[in-house]
Amino acid sequence: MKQQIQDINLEKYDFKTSEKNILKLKKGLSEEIIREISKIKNEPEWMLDLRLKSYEIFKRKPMPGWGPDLRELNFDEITYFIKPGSEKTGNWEDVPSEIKETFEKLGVPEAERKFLAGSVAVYEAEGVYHNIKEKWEKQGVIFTDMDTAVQKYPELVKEYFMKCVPSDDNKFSALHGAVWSGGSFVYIPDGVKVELPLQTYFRMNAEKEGQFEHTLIIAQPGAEVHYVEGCTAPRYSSHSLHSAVVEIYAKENSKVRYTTVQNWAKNIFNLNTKRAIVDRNARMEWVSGSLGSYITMLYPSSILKGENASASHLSIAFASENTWKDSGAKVIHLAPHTTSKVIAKSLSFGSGVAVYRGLARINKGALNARSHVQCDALILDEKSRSDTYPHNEIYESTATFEHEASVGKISDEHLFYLMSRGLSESDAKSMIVLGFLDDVLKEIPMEFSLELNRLIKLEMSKLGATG
Amino acid sequence: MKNKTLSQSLVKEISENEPAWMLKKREDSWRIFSSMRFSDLNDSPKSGRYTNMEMIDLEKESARASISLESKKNGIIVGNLNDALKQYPSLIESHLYSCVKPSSHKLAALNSALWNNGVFVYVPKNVSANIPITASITSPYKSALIFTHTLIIADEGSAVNYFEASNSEPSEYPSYNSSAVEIYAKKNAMVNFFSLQNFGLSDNVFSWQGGILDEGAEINWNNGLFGGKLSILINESHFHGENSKTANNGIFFLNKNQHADISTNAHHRVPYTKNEMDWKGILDDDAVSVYRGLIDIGPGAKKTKSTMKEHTIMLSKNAKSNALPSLSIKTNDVQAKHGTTCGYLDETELFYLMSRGLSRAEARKMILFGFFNSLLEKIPFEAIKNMFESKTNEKMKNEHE
Repeated sequence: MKQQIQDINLEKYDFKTSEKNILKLKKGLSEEIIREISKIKNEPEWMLDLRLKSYEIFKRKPMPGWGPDLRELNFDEITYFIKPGSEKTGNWEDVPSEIKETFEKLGVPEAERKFLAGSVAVYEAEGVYHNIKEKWEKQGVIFTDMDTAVQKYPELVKEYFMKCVPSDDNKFSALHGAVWSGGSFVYIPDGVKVELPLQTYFRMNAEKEGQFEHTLIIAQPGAEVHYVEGCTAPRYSSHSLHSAVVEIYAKENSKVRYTTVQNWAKNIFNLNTKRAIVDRNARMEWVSGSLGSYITMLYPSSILKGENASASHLSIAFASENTWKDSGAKVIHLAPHTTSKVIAKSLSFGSGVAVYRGLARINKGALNARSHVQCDALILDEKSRSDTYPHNEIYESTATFEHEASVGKISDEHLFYLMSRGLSESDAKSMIVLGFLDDVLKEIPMEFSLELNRLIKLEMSKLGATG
Repeated sequence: MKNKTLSQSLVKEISENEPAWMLKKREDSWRIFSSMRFSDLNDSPKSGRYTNMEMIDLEKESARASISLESKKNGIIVGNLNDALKQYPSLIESHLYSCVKPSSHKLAALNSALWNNGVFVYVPKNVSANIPITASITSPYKSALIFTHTLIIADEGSAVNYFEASNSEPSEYPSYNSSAVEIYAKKNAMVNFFSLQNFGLSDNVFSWQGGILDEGAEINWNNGLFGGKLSILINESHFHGENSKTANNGIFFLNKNQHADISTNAHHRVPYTKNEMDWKGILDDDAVSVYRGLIDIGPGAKKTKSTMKEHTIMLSKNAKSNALPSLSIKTNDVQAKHGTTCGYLDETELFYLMSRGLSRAEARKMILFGFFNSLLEKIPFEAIKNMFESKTNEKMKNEHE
């Protein structure tokens, strides 16, 4: 195990290639810039209207009055749009070598060769290449970047775009509506089951760049899909903003799993809005690993709208050196026999702050709804912190609701036992931490969980002799 | 004191025969009350989402509650707080408002400015008074603002049991009943506190209970909340000394359009302190409960063990239960957990009991009493326990099958 720690190529997680952007708009935000973005993208009128309306809402909305301190975030210091130095391409050979190098280090092509059904790699703000296996195309599956979707499937996009997460939901969804760029569009027709995960990699590479991808997933009745999104980003000195919106429509009898592993550099504000509307008999699964970023505020929500709909939220959050992870889940039961399960695990170390903030709401009329919320936190040193703020609103007497939370440290007894069996202290610690995270880790796709395992071991070895 | 609504002159009037330092304390509190807004309260700006405190009608005359005290003397000092101001000024001056700080809540500040009746208990060093001191607080038959303030000081190594029962004269006039209880438990002292809140169903009730625990001290809070249309109960334990501990047990039974907002808070600031909160609630008709339980462990409060549990049973389709437990942990070597559940009366349990020959009503009663037993079994005094039980029984009679 020791060997493995040393084997980690640190460069893999922390590198940057020189910037070569064809077009980079000037810093800050104005109506002019928004019109410019829309013009460059050659968007239809309704999209420009949506952007301008969102901008008005953004100017009006106050910053959140709770949670982490966002004062360091300066909206005027951010570049809202960068078009990368490549044309879109369906062929790997045509991708510029510099960008290819970046993906090579991240292991994208291998991942694709091995088991991916299709891949849209978002380099900076737009799709660089997209490639869909023929089989899915024939079945009518659409997996493309969001900008292409606006051009190619305007009716479909217009019907669903920002209907699940409207611009006026919060300040950052409004900002997103104004300046969104890139992201993925997934459409699975009736009864089609996509057996292999659809996967994208996101990267941010230009300093002070805002990235505002929009992901829209529509699973028609009876469809099944597993969408995987991974992010890693190199380190930079000043704070950058990432504010994505994810909208998922899980129609009757469909099944959608959304997996995300986030490892932004430690200077990035990661303020996202993710929401799913789940119809009758449909199932929504959220799996997330939140490793990097400076401040994260993310509360994926499931609106259980149809009878028998169900949702599960599994998450792991790492609050490492001086970072703040403010995350949680929202489950809103609107219909009878709906069920939800939330398992949130967090680790905090090196003055990190891990906060669980969530909502479980069972509305009147959601007969026999069931919800279980579990939050476990492990604090690895004296300077770190963990807060838990669940909001449980139960308005239906036939509902069953359970919530539990615990906070603790690595127990000396466990450590001693493992060390008496010949493990070094850091190996014993990583083993305990991995055991603590196991409920969620086993749900994360293999290649991510391998990377997670390595990261955990790396962090444990950095912690030094005492917990 | 009639025909007066809230104003600063009322503070002067109430304080007429009091020492100057008391008037100053009241005036300081009044200033806090006037400058604080309800929106500054509690944990988040959203707190108004569950309970709107601005609904409380303060446009009433101030009146005095009647308090009847029962106690055996055995060396302890028990009396009216107003009288005690003259008899034990230095003792009161140094302790009053230390456990319930006027600055912590707009309504706590109002109570600190305007209380006009209350209980004072001082238990000298190493004296233990086993027979409970009983205070019956009754608000008058009219619509009024009623403020009571209680101060209990348990000196080193002492032990005391205190029981307060609050009632209104049956009346259709809505009153505002505000009470503050301060418990200062010195080194190795033990205080068992019991409260049965049974104000009228049209009253607004604000209760603040605050405790400070020195080294090795113990406070056991036992609350039964049955009355009030809108009841706010805030309970705070401040751990100042190592090895101190609290147990916080409570039950609430709400029906009709009752709304209760209960918050229990444990502030651990030193190592080796323990806290256990266990609350149970039954909601019927259109009742709404909001339960906030905070476990707050500061930096350096190592080896803290703190737990919180809340369970609610809903008997009616229109009842609403809100649970907002929170953990705020700033050190690592601790054990802290919370759990809340919400459910309904289990049909299989009912069926089982009915198959043993009980009627549905009896079976239901048995299950609900069993549910409240977590608190009831911890009351060592039959008389007090009986009062809790009969109140529970009374509430259950209102139920329809």
